[in-house]
Amino acid sequence: MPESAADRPELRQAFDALTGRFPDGVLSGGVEKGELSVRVGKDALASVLAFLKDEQGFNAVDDIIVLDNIRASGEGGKRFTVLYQLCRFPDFLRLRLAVDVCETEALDSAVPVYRSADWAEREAFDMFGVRFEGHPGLCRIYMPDEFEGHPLRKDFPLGGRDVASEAPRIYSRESDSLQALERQSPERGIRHSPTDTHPWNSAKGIKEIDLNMGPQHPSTHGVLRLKLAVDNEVVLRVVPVLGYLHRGMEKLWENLTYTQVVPLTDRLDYIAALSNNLGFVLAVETLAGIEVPRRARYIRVVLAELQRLASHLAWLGFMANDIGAMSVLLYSFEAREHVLDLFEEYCGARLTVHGIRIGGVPQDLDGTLVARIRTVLEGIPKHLADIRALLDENRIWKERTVGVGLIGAGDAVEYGLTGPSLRASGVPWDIRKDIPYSSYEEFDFDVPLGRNGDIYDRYIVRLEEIFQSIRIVRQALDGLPEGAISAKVPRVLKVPPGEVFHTIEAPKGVLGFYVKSNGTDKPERVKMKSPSFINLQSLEHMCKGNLFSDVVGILGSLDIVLGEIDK
Amino acid sequence: MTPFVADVLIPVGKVVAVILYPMVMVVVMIWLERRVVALIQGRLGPNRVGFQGILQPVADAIKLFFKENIMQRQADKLLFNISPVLVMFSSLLAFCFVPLGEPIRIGSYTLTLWIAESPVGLLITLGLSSISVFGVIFGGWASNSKYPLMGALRSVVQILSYEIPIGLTALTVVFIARSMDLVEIVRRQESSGVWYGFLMPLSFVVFWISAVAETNRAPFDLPEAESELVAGYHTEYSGMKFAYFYMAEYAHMVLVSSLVVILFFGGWLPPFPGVKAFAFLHVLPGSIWYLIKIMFFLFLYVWIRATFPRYRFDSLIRLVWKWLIPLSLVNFLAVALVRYLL
Repeated sequence: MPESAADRPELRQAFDALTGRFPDGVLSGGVEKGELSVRVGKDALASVLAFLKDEQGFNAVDDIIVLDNIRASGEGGKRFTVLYQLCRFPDFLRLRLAVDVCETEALDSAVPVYRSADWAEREAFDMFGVRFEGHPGLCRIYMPDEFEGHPLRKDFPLGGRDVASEAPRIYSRESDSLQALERQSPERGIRHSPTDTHPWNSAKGIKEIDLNMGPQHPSTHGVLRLKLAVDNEVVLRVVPVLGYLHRGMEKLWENLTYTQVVPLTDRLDYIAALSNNLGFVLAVETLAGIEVPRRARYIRVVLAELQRLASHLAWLGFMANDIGAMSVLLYSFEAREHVLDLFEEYCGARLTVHGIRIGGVPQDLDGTLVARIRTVLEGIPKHLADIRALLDENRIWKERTVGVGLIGAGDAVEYGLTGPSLRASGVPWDIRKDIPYSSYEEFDFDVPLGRNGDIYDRYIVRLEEIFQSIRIVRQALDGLPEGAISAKVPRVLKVPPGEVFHTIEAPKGVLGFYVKSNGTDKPERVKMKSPSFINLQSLEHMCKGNLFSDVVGILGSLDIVLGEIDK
Repeated sequence: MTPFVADVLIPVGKVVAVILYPMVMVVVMIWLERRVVALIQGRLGPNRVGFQGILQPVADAIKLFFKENIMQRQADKLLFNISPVLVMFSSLLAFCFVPLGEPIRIGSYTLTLWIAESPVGLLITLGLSSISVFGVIFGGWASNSKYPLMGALRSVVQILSYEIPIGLTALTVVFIARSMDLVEIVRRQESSGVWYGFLMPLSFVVFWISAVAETNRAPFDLPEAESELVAGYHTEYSGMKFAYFYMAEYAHMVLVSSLVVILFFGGWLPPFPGVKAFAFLHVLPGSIWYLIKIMFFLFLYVWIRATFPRYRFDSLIRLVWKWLIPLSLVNFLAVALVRYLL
């Protein structure tokens, strides 16, 4: 255990407890960039995870990251290293477990211990082919089931391969019978009365029908597909099907220089592009040891909070539209438009802004822009007052939102919820407060909390966050320090070898970037922990037993963006 | 006036008018809705085709006319084709019994602005407008697809439930007017000097809410809730068949607005009939007053749509069975009692 752990006694405490309990299981440990990283044996993994959760209080798996060691053979010569990024909150402590595993071996699944590891393990399986024993349903999450190979492996060709893909059959039961009919009388084609194969009659005695929602559906916020099982209008099961927008971002990033990656992060959560920039840039800066000037940090805070405003305003509009209040969409978009105008004036772009560079920011905030930001901030509460007058005490709105999509604090943590959706359940976990980055510790703001964890609370929490963001921006503009807007960063940035997992509080939740560098100008591996992806896991829990109409509202209240889910 | 004019030309003219009138109103209404909603939401709305975009619905109709009619092969061909016609037909037919304005005197001849004055006009109109729900159900069923089916099912429950308060409140008007003849009901309001909407405000409120629900309009537009059921019962329809559903919905709104005006707001009567100071209001002919009142209720439809979120299915049904039906029953008994005692 290196001496640098001395500044975080809790880290040493956790490490000592771990080595004390598992003298054989823990192979090595170290602290780098303030992060405790422990290498454990494959066989001890399940018991280590259980110990960390039950006795050390690590209540969340932030992400599961797989490294392919085919080029630089890993320790013990095993092909993959699987990293479990664990987190303990509200008293923040972060720990990274590393496990080496061969292609032929399978790991014990973390799902029995950490419910939220479900999709992360499926992603690891899909992208790398690492198998997890004891996972409740290990199957591909992004790629189609019949896809061969694992795209993020280092030996998978960068340009991809041609894949003969057959459109998945959605209504298997019906299409089977349809094809059977066609086989019987091909010359007649299909001609039958609705009673033959009607969805509600085909399964006699079973009232349940499968309903396919998306990827082309007005309220799935992009190309999300939900497989629903409904009994009349009551939802029995919800199975999200992802991957319609999967672009292999992480593969791309490994083959671009650090500076080239930044604009691509815009395309993740395109409603809050700047937050992605910030998340990635901060991770790289931590890794490269770049000290960002204070003025740049303040400008970043201004931009990031404006982005949060824009994102929450867009959410408010989409969400209200899902519940049928269409005017609210237009009102909140009008307010968002003013914020986007500010971005346009700042850097020329409105949506995919690329507003942050490694080392600082591309433009300075001049006096006229500061004045404009202040005017826009004046106007937003007026817009919100209109919207609140329409919704807050509206009977229909309350009937649709209060007590709908409930998730308690315990379940919310268990399912890995983050961001406003988690705080609506009453868990005070805001990275800006708890692990301040980019000078957030210098600002005075509150973390709004909900009580019940229903749609209404999520609505109120986000509205309140808009006001807190306005507060932060005002403080940052008032206290804007003089100085440079960017650190000196070499034209070709070569990052010394190392790894870091850096998180920020994006509008949608905790956005994390794991960056592993190898000393060149290109990252060895970048893994993104996207908040929407993890948040979406809890959808089924919230929807079960509710009516079909509520699925739309609950999905809207989670604030997901498919660009970020599908990476 | 020759018998030819009186017995052939005028009836034919009336028939043409009764078909054209709802169509023109539908065009105006579609334009009005899009412009008014845009106004409320701080947008412009369609303003390019014709003066202020008034020809936009016509352009839309032409577009829909040339679009491909798609019918999936699982669909039940007969019902799939019949249902848009059924919806349109029943809406248009109901206009035969709805007066379009007060009778016009031309010399010794009185031109009545309705095709049929039936002693049970109200009953027939309500009955015909209810037939359109069969179109919705058939359409949703025949599509053999899940979203339309759910839309159709919602529609059945919704319209069956909301028929009850509509019937009960319409009956109170019949009690007071002692007639089911729509023309007679207006005349009674003229002779009694008070519009029934002011005499029985509760009846009017319940009737109006139920009428909005019966026409599948926001906030009761569950059978076609776009954020849930894509387009509800007409999801699988395209081209002119879709246009039929669309136009029938607006025609139905015009019909319901006409009924509200006739039953509760004195039809073509100008406001404040007994007050001398307002005698100047009689300058406008009755038909214009009638149109103004109808347009007001059409505007109300749009205003409500732009303001409220959508009901959920269970609260929609709770609203009608726990509030509107008990309310209309109490109202019905009260009116009956008053009527009996007087």
